[in-house]
Amino acid sequence: MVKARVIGISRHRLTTDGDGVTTLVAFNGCPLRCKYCLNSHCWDPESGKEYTPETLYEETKIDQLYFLATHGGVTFGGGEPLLQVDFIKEFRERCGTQWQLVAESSLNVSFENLKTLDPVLDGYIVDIKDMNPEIYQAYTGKDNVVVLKNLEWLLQHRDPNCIMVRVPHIPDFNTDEDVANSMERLKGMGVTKFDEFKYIIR
Amino acid sequence: MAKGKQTCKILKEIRKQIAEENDIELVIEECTYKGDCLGTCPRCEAEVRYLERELKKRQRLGKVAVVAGMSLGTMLATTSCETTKPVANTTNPDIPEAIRDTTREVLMGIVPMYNPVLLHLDSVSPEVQAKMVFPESKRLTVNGYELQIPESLYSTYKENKEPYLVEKAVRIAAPHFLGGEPAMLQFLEEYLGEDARKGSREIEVEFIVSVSGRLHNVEVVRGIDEKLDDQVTRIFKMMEWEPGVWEMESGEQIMVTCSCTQKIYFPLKQ
Repeated sequence: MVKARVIGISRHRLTTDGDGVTTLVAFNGCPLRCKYCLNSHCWDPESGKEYTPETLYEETKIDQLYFLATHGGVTFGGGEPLLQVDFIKEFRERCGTQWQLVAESSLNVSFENLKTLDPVLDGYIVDIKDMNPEIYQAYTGKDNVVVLKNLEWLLQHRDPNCIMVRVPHIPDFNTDEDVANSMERLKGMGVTKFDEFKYIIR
Repeated sequence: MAKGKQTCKILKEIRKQIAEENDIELVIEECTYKGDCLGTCPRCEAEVRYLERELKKRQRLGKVAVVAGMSLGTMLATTSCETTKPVANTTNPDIPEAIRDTTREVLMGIVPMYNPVLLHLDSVSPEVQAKMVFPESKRLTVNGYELQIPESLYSTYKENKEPYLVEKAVRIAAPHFLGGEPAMLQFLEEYLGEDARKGSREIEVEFIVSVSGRLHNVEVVRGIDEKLDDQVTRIFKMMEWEPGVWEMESGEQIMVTCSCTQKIYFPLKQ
C-alpha cells in the first residue's frame, strides 16, 4: 500500500496556490536544503502524519463542493511533491478528473518522476530560486541542472499558462539585478506567468 | 483574524450562489461570532453538508446540479457579512425514529474543525446532555481513532492557561445512513444477495462515523460466521452516513464524530 508522510494540510486557500479554493497538502521530504526554508521540519524523515491516497482523499473531500464550484482542488507542496509519484497517481484515481491537482515544486527531481506524474497534474507552481547556478547552489545546497531541463521539457509539452514560476528576492543571496536576469531568461524560455516576491526573514 | 473573516465571507458567498443556482432554500442570518475566525466553523461546515445533501436529492430526482463556474475574483472584491442556515435541519423527515432502536452511538469528539472539543457522555440516551472540554494535548487517540487539534487554537488555550471549557450540549440528530434505515437495509440486501434472507439471527457492527460521513474502524463485534461477518464488514465500509449533529448552549449546531453500534436482524426486512 502506497503511503506518504504529510507535514501539514491547509484548507480554504484562496488563489495563493492555484485557481479557486484549494487545499494545500505539504509532503515530508525534499532534496534541497534551502537556507530560509519555511518547512524545514520536512527534512526530518519522521515528521508528519502518514497517509494513504485513500485516507488523504477522505480528509480533503470535505471541501469538494468548493473545489467543484471554483475550479479548485488540491495543491501538493512540501517538501517536494514530485518525489511522491505513486501516491499522487493513486490520489488522482481516487479524486477523479474534476479536482484540479497542482504541484508546488522546485523541479529538482529526476525527469522520470516529472514525466510520470505530468499526465495527472493540471498545473505547476515552480519556485525557481535563482537562475544563476552559483546563487542556486549557495542557497539550496544543490545544482539546478535538472531543474532547467525539467522546466524546458514542461514548457515544450504543456500550455505555459498552467506553469507559474515564482522568482524570489532572497536576502543575502541574490540582488534585484539577479532577479531581473532570472526573469529575462525565463521569458526567453517561454514562461508567461510569474510571481515575483520577496523573502521576509524573521 | 481579519483574513479568516474574509475567507469566511467568500466561502459563504459561494454557498449562497450554489443555493441560488439550484433553488435550494437557505435562511440568511447575520454571523454573531466574535472570536478568532479561521475561515470556517461548525455552522459553516453544516451548511456545506446540507447543500451536498440537497444536491444529491436533486440528482436522484433527475435534476442537474449546478455547481461549477463561480468566480473567486468577484467574490474577493465584494462579499457579504451574512451567514446562512439550512432550513428545517432539526426536523429532517429523513431521520426515522426507528433508527434509534437499532443504532446506539457514543460521542467521541469533533474531527478537526476549528473547535477542538471532546465530548464525554454519561449515558447514551438521545436526550443526554454532554460536557464539552478542550483537551490538554494536541493529539488525542480515542478508541483507536486519532483526533488532531489545530495548532493555532491549542496554543491560544495553553497561553490562557484554560485547558478546559465546560459547556453543555444536546443531540439534535443521530448519525444515520443516507435515506434512513429502510435505505440501509436495501443497501445491505443488494450486496448480500441470498444471504440476506436466510435464518433468524443478529449481527452487531461497531464503527465510527466521521463528520465527512464515511465509516471507519468497522468491526463485527457479535457475528454469525466468518464469511457473513466479512461480507457485512465490507458492505459497511462502502456506506455513506449522515454525521451526528449536536446543539451547544449558545444555540450553535455542530457535527460530531461518533462511535456507533448497529444491530442487524436477519432475515432483512424493509
